[in-house]
Order: sequence, then C-alpha cells, then structure tokens
Amino acid sequence: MADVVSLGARLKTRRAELGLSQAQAARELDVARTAYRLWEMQAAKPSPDRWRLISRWLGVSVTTMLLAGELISAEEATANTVTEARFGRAGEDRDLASAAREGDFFLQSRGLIQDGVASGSITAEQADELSLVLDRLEQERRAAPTIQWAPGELRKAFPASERTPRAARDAVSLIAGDIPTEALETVRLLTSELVTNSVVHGPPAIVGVFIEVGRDRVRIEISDEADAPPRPGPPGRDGGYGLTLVDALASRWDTSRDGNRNVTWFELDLPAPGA
Amino acid sequence: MKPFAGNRTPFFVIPFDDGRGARLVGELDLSTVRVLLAALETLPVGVLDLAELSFMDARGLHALEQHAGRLNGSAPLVLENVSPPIRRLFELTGADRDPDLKLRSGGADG
Repeated sequence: MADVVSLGARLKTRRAELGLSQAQAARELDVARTAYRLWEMQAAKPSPDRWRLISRWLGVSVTTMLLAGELISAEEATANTVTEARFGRAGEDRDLASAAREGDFFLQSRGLIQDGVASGSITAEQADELSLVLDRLEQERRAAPTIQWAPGELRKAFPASERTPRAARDAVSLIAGDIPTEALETVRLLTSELVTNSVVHGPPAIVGVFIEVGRDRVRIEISDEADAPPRPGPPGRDGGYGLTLVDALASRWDTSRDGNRNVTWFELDLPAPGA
Repeated sequence: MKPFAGNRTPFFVIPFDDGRGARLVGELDLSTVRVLLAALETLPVGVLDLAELSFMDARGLHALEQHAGRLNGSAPLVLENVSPPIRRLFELTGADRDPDLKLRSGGADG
C-alpha cells in the first residue's frame, strides 16, 4: 500500500509544479496567504467548503485529499469519503460523521466502499486507501479504554491521630483521582467523616482504610476497634453529622463486625462512561 | 508504629485588611478546627470568605456553627464564596437553615 502523502506536501509539490509563490497559490484557492501557509505547514486544516476547490487544484479526488495524512480526523475523513463514494460529493453530509460514533459504522462504510468501486465513483486504489483508514480506525477504537478511570485498590492501616482523616482523604485522591470530580469530592468527604468518627469515638490505635475503585463504583471500608458500631446521632452532635452525610450521599452503606474490629463501609456508584 | 507523620494539614485564617472579616485557606477538618476557633476567639469577625477553602467536613461545619453561636445572635455569621460541595454540606445537615448563618455563593458584592 502506497504511503499517504500529507496535504501539506501535496500543496507544496503542486505549487512548485505550477511555479507559484505561496501568495499566488493562496489567491488561486481564494484564501488568505497566512491560512495557505499554515496548510502547507500542516498547522491548520482547510474548512470543508474549501475541499472541492483544493482537490481540483491538486488534481486529485476529494477522497485522496481527505486521506492525506492526518489533516482531518480519520473518522471525519472516512465519513466524508464514504459520502463522496455514495453521492459524488463530500463535506456536505455530516450525518455520516455522527454515524461514525455509532455501532455499525464500519460495516456500513465497507459496504459503501464496495458500492463506490462497483459504480465507478471511486477507484480501486482509493478504495484500498479508504479500507486502510477504516482498519486503523477500528484498531484505535478497540484499543481505546472502555472506562474513563483506572480501577485499583489500596489498603492501609493508619495509626489513629487527628491527622488520619486527611491522610485517608489523600489516599482516596491518590487511588481515585481520575473518577468524576463530583464523585471524588463525595468520596473524600465521606471517608473523612468515617475516619473522624473512628479517631474520635474509638479511641482506636489503628484505623484501617480500604479503597476500591471499580468500573462502576467506589467502595470504602473504614475499620477500627471501637466496642459498638456507630449509629447516626441527632443532628448537631459532632459524630451525628458524619453518618447523616454518609446516609444521604452514599449509594449504600452498612456496618459489620470483623473479628474484634468494626467495619463501616459505603459504596458510591459512578456514572456510566459517556453518560 | 509511629504516629502518622504526614505534613500538617494546610489551613490558615487571614484577616481582611479592613478587619471586617477573614479568609479561610486550606482544609478544615478534625486537625484544623482548633486553629480556626483559636483564631476567631481573638478575631470575632462576622464575615468569612470561603473561596480558598478547598475542603471542609462536618467537623469544620460544627466549628463554624460554634463561632456563629458565639457572636450572640447580634448578626448572622456571613459566609462568602461558598463552593457547591460546601453548600451541599450545609444543606444536607440542615445547617443552611440555621438563623445564625448566612451563606452567599459570591462575595460581598455578588
């Protein structure tokens, strides 16, 4: 498969063939000289309303022009070239660009390329180039992570002190720093509340912190050696507020007994990717 | 095991130039409420700017209510530039209905 020559290089070559300066080329393409220079440098992209004119000037099809390097996103290029293959025009049917973000885009596109070759609206070489871009696009799509944050877990026993709530919050930020900001704020707050309760009402020597970031939720477990599990107190009491907040903000929470340790845990559901 | 030797939690109370109030900077929690209450004892201001308060939990909230109570109801304690997460804290605990507290999202002019 021939390398795809970048649009910048194509423009430069064509301008040399015609013996034009950048200013003259810009006049022929009806754009400002600065804009033309940026196109040659691959530092800017021509807008779709210029595509026809540029491709004619270059003496190549819009298909070839759009595939030139990474000038426009492969997805957009593909959508437009498929449109060209189908309707003999490009840059006009933006529906296909949104179809690109939907499921059967690749299947649909390959069918359209075959139709284009069969009807003679694109050459076999162009169809090959197009297929290459589709393959690359599909690979990129597969390689892309399907979740927006990295799962992971962290377990640590902190000696109880008035600084432990902050240490636990920082641990949350460390392991869950890439979850949505609002969720992170909530998990940091609730972790701070539970650890504060453990430190204040224990008095435990050790506060155990377990943080688990999953695909769809964060789970926090705080354990201590207090005699009885904590319960929400009346509003206004120091300890009461903490569990009131956990109850209001967590997706679910509970307390349990693990040997001689009390475990208070909560989970916060995370929004689905793309939601 | 040694006590947790992490850095001191960052928290500062910085008086306004005009002495009308103070800015709270940093994180207000179990380890820093003492700093707040001690500062406000010598500086009984009625306005606190929370724009640079990056974290506050129920301990911090309780301390602010304590300070508001100490103002003796002469005027409510005005909290300026209350961020959405901190406002939520007040709402969920019902502290936003405390007549001793007045929350403002913007500053004095906002």
